[in-house]
Amino acid sequence: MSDATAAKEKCKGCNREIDVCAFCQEPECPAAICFKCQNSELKQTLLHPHAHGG
Amino acid sequence: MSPRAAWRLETLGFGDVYDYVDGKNDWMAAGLPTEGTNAEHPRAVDVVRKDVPTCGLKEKLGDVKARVRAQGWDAVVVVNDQRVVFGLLRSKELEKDPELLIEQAMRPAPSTFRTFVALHEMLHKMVDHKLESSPITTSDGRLVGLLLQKDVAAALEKDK
Repeated sequence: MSDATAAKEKCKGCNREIDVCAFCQEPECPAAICFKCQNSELKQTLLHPHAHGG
Repeated sequence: MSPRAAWRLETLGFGDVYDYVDGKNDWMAAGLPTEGTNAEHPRAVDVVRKDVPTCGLKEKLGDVKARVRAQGWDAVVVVNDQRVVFGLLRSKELEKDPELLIEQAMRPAPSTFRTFVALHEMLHKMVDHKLESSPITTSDGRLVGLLLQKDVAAALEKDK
């Protein structure tokens, strides 16, 4: 059973609450980061402003 | 490249031009070569250990640990027969009960990274998060190898 009162971590990039650090998946990570910020910082995704390319 | 760039190159006289529909990141994630100024920066693909040991979900931890240690490793990546990454065991997980199955002992669904990630960015993150190693995969989750923090640091030192 989950503990609804347990404090969630916050992404150090965007400050939103996350269940676990996307990088190390360790609880109580002091440098916790969400997947979105991680992929952005590591440039693992590119923005696609035009669906038709260009 | 984009379809427009491909068409333009053909008008400039290039005859062997293709539109890679899945995009540049997918190309780089597969470890394929690139050119240009960005290609000069050291990336994960340059130092990833492709010889990292692997194991299956149903193997016994004790057997895997003996095999891995005999090869001089303290980490093993859990994959299926398509080399898709299911889990990871670092030294901490390898020390668990040797009677456990790998699927019971592993760290499931570890974060994976692409081959084109810049080494200086990975080193910064690996140090911050105290990670000795991280799996590198293609876009569709297939194992390329294991990136070791010590290799990243050595490569960047050499690149100075």
